[in-house]
Formats: sequence, structure tokens, C-alpha cells
Amino acid sequence: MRKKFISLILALTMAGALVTGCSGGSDDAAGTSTEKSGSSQSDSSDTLRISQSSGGVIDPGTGVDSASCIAYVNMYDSLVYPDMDNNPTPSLADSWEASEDGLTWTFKLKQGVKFHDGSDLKASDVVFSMNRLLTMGEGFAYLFSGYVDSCEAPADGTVVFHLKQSFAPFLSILPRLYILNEDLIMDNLEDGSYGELGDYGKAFLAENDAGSGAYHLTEMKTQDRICMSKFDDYFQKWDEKAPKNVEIVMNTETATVRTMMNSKELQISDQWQTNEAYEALDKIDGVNIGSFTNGQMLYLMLNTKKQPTDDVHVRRALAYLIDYDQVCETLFPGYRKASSVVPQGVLGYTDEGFEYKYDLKKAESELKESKYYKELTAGNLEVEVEWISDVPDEEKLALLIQSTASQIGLKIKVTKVPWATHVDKCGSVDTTPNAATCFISSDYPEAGALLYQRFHSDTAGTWQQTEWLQDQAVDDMITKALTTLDDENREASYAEIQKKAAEECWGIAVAEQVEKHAYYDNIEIPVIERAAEGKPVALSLGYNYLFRDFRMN
Amino acid sequence: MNLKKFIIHRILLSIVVIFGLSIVIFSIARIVPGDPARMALGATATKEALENFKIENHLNEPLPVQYIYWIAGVLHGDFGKSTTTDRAVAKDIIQFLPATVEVVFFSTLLLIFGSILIGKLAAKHKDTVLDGILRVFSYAGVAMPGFVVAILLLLLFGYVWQVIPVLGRLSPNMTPPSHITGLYVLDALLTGKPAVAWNAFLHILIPAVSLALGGMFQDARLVRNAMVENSSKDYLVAMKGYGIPEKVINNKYLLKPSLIPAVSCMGMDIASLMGNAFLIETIFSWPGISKYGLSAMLAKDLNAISGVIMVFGIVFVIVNIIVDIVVAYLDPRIRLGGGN
Repeated sequence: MRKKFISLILALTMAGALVTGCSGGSDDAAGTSTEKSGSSQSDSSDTLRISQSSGGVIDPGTGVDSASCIAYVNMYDSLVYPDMDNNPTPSLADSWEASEDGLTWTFKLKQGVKFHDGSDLKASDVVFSMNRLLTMGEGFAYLFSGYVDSCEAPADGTVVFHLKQSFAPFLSILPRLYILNEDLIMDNLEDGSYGELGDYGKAFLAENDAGSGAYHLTEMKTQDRICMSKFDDYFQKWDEKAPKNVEIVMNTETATVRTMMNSKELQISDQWQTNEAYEALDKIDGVNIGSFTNGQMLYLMLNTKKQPTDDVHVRRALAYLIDYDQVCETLFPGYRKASSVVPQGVLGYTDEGFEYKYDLKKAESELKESKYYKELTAGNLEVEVEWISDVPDEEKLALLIQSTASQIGLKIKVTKVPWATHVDKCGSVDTTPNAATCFISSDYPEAGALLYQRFHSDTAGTWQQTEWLQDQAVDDMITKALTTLDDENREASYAEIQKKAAEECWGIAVAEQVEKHAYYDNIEIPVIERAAEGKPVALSLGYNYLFRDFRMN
Repeated sequence: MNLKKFIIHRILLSIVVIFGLSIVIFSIARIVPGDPARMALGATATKEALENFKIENHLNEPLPVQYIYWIAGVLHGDFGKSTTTDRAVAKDIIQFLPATVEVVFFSTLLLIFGSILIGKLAAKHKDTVLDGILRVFSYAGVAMPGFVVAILLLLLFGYVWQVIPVLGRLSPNMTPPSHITGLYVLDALLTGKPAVAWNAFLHILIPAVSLALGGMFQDARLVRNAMVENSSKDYLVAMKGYGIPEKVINNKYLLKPSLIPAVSCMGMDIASLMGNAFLIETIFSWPGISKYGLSAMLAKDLNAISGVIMVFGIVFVIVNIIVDIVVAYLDPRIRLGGGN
């Protein structure tokens, strides 16, 4: 009897929950469209959701990945930012001037700029942000640490940077200095390893924003999504149809993205989908596919200190063995064949001296000139080509090289490694493979950025340079270029390094990445529209996604 | 040995197991390839930052010393700081664990009741067409990897038919309930939001089914086979002879002993659900601890790896204790020391 009574109570409770549940939120419960239910409908239609890979953080002092950079450029401001032509454009800075020797840069700040908490942005906040980045030494700190000696605020609204050595692209790297609200951070310090500065606000900034950007953080769902809303007191102009709310959804799983797009829970897909996935997304009613070059290069990096790729002829043979047309048409459709070791559109790019194309005869003749020719053709020596298991399409490139190499008797050993193992192996010459596939993006829109990242001794032994070049003459050339203030002379110096890189084949630039997105046709994305007009786009990571310039029709 | 002594004995043994587990976890986390400092701070971090990171995390100390630092923290509830989220691992676990517990809880219910029901049904209709159909489903359920089932169900219910929400824990325009336990269905009911509870429940359904399906069919086969085997035992024939109703015989005298082999297997399956959840969490955009653990491993986030596996280990041990107790309850020979 007692059991029956309890069962009855439970059944009634369940039935009650079902009835109220169904009546109160049946539209939501179906979950198929956020546009059905009453009052929340308008909020949903004003929300732009974009998928990105996981790992995005919102502390501008730590992350460098795509999701993080998108969050930074929308929640924070910098002194200058790049326009579509990559020209430094005033943002927080009203004007600036450099001393003749290029060692002192003075910026006048705009007045009346508000942080998200309503307080005024001051020159001291810029100094604090610079010091925090340099002290922590993470994220984009490396761009500044070699050059910035100190930063001061001599007067209200004036900031002065003192450089250790002149650094011509200084304006180009400033978009990576995001200005933080010093008072807010100092009020939220926790215990940490930075002395009296505790954790320098790391724990606070992991879940909160301290910026003045066009959007303010509404919720940080760690490793899930970053939710932002329009900041009404923003000091720069908005497009009147810009999204009021933005969510960066950290999930690139194909089936998930497809389902979300189909149910309109996602308006723009990430750039990491396969071609098959883009084709499927394209079939969804109202969804378009758009693309643009994003300044990212696909390289086959070559270890110049290990047999047999320490021989320039073997390296050149490999460069002639790659069927670039097939790479850009079949393996990575839409990609553009590389015409230098840096992408087109950046300051200082030149294709002079870059003559690599698919040519088996030239590959064979280069191989014959190699001191390892006999060992290589006898099969006593092989070239190890490593690809990263996290990016399955890279295997196709490795196998393509293996296949063409076999036609001239060159033995290629293809190995697959997870990213973490690859990073670990790059730490020493002996464990670094002969060749490795890797994507690298330019940190700022000048040839000098990638030339430094790829070939300067400072980066040897990191995943950005498995060449182990360690050549003082090359270091000097890069340093000279980066410290040449005159644009024309600097471009000439960049060109000289690119020609040398091509001639000695330090590493093989295979193709320029074309970033694809599936998106609903009521959304206007400025970079995609510009690319459709045939104009070059090579903005730094994140700046392609200034949501205040997007339009939701 | 009575049941109380048996339970105390098992708990004491579990403490030793967890201690051993902590050493294994700590060592394995450090064997994963990759320099943790470089992985945490990125390729471009300055040498000073890398060195500071190593000092702060005692990475320059010998492994036994590192272990002492770590275990001392764990005993105080401090698993260290995660380098992927820049927060205390304990805080991450508090955020991510409830989502996984919620889906695993519903999967567990499905696994237990589904396997018993299917097993009973198949045994009752032994060697009939229904038994054959259930056998085919069972083999297919066991053979098909969980992620394939998950993608299939996601595309069917979320893409083709769109009859049920399949992504995330709540629909986009639903406000999550106030945090009490972190379990959305329960929190929504406790705060008087039945619509939110219903929405959260619907979101759990497909991930829970995907997660439970393999184990459910496997255990159903065990229940079915044990019931078929036991149904010819003499004591049951005698009961039928005494005219005891078949329903009573089946539920009380046949099912109970037939559950013993399945319960042990269910225990392992249920404990494995936590670990297996990472694919389900990725596919269904479910912000749980398994997905967090996977990201930690890829980024060689030592403290997060250790923290997550420790939690999994503890759950595994607790589930095993419960299973032992259930088996001991079902089979007195176990708690009485093999019938001596």
C-alpha cells in the first residue's frame, strides 16, 4: 500500500513537471529554432554565434590562438589597429611621433574613453598593460620584449615608449598591446609569483574582462563559449546593423557544427572544417561559403643540421618534388601556391628568386648533385617527413611527397605524431625530423615578422623553426631589416633575405592558406566581401573579426 | 563476516588503492610527451617566463619531491593551477564535473534498467524471433563505437528530424538555473523552474543514450544468459510445482541470482562512462570534465591531468565499492567469505 502511494506521488510529480514544462517552454524544448518563442526571440536574432577551436582565453597577456585573438580585438582596444590595407590606424591613440633615431615613440591618447566598468582610460593604464605583458613574458610579449626598454606616462594623455634599439615595425606590433584597466586588476589580485603584484590579475582575467572594447564580456564559459554584448559607451563608430551579442562557440566537431548551422544556433562556421563538410554546409538553405587569405602559410620545414637535409641539393630536390597544383586544387582546394617564404600582401613581400614548381627532372638533377646521392638512391638513407596527427589533411601532403619522391628513387619515411610530441621533438637537433608540415601565421603584417619567426636563431628549436638555421649572418640581416626605419630600404632588406631563403631553400613554403567559412547570407563579413572584390587580405589573427563592422541584415 | 564489517574492509582497501593510484597518475602525467612549460606558455614565451613557470611548479625538482608537493596540496583540496584555464584545478572540477555527472547519472539509469528489461524480455522469449532481434541489436550495440552512435543520433535527431534538442545543456534562449548542485535538472526543480528542468532533461536524453547504449546491450546479454541458465535449476522447478505465480518466481527467485554476473559488469561499465564521456561531450558540445581532461592532456597541463584522473579514479573506486556491496547483498556467499 505504502509503495503504491509513493508511486502515485512520484507519477503525479512527474506528470506535473511534464505539463508545466511543456506549456512553459515547448518552443525552447524543441530546441530547433531560437526564433520561435516570444520575448527572448529578439535577443536571439541579435546574437551572432561563430565556432572556433577550443582553448580560447580572454586574458590578453596569455593566449595567441585564433579564438583568443577574436575575443581580444572585440573586448579590448589598442593604441592603433590595422585597417583593411594593413595601415596602422588610430584607435586609443590620437596621434604619435617617433624620434629621429627611432628609439622614442610618443603617443597622444584620445580623451573620454571609458572602460567597461565606466572608469576613464588613462595613460597609466597603457604603462601598466605594457609592464604586465613584459613581466609575464607570455602571449604576445615576445614581440615587445626584445625592443621595449621602458614605458612611461609623463603627462595626462601622453605615453612614451623607450626602445632598446630602433624597431621599424613598432607601429605594426602595437595592435597586440591591449590596454587593461589597471585599477580593476589591482583590486582583484590573488596570490601569485609576481611579488607584490600577486598573480598580476591572471585569475581575475581568466573569467572577467578589463577592457574598453566594442563588446564587453557577459559570460566566460571556460572551454565552452565566450559571450559578449555591445558596449553602449564605446568611443568608436559602430555599424548600425552590427550584432548586439556575440558568442564564440569553442567546438569545431564537424557533425556538431553542421547540426548547429542547420538549426540556426550558429551563424558562422570556423575555418577548420573539411571540404566535404563545407559542401554539406553549403546545401543548408541560406548558407553561403566565403573565403579569404589570412596570412597563414603552409610550410614543409626542413632540418638543415641533419643528414640528408643538411645538403642544399636534397632540400631543393624536395622543393621540386611537391606537386603544388595538386596541393592547391585537390588536397587543400582554394589555397594559393606560395610565391615566397612570406605571404602576399605583407609589407616587403617579393617573389623574386622564388622559382620552385613541380619538376621531376630538376628534382632528379638536384639529387644527383647531392653528396648523399648514392646512399639515398641505394635506400641506405631516407628522408623522414613528419605530419601532425591533429591536422589529418597534412597526411595527404606527406603521402604526395612520398609518392613523387619514389619516382626518382628517393625514399621518404612518413611519420605521424601528435602535436605535443612534435613540440617536444623540436627541442633538439637530433630529434627534429628532416621535414615537418606546419602552418604558421604572421604576427604582424610585415615580411619581417615571418622572417624572424622562421629563421632567426631566437626561434630555433621551437615548432616555428625546425630548420635550426642558427646562422649569425642571417640573424644580422633580419635584425638590420627590422631596425631600418625607412620603409623602402626596409623592404629591400626583406627582399634580400627572401631571395637568400629561396636560393638556399631553408624551408619549403608550400601554399598560402585560404580561410573558408560557412555563414548565413543575412550576414555581411567585411573581409569576405573585400576578398570577393579581388582585393588582398592579410590581416593579423583576430582582426578579420571586428564584429562592430559586421552587418546582420 | 557481516555486511558492516565487509563494507569497512572494502573502504579501508580503497584508501590504499587511491594512494597507489595517486602515484601512478602523477607519474603517467609526467610521461606524456612535451615540455609542460613550453606547452603552457607557447612557442614564443621568453626564457625567463619559462624558468619562472618551472620554479613556480617545482618542475626543476626530482620527481619524488614534486610528488610530495602535489600530494600535500591534494590532501588540502588543492590540485594546483591549470595552465589551460589559468584557474585552480579544483575550481575547474567544480565547474565541469556536474555536467558529466548529470549525463552519466541518466546513462546509468538507462544502463541498469535498460539492460535488465531487455535481458528479461530476451530470456522470457528465449529462441523466438524477438530474442533474435534483441540479439542482433545487442551485438550491433556492443560492436558499434560510442562516437559512431553519437554522431548518428546527433544527425538523425538534430539535423534530419529536429525533434529534440541535441547540443549543449540548455537551449540558447534559456537561462541556466541558479547554481546549487550544478546539475541543471535538479537545480531547476529546486528553484521552481520546471520549464528549464524539462529543457535540460531533453538535452540530456540523446547524449545519455549514446553513452549508455554499448554497455546496456552488453549487460542485457549477461542478464539474459544468466536467467536462461538459472531457469532450469531444481529449486525453480520445485517452486513452479508448488504453484507459486510465475511473476513472483521470475522477479524474486530467478532475476535476483541472475543479476550477480551482470552487476559486476555494470559496475565497470558505469565507472567507465565517466572516461568514455569525452567523445560524447565533444560531439554534443557538452561542457563536462572528460572534455576538459582531454584538452589538459593535449596541452600537457600536469595539474589538470592529475586532478581529472584522480577524480575518475575516486569515482571508479566508489562505484566498485557500491557494486561489491550490491553483489554481497545479492549473494551471501561473497560477504560470508566464499561460503565458509
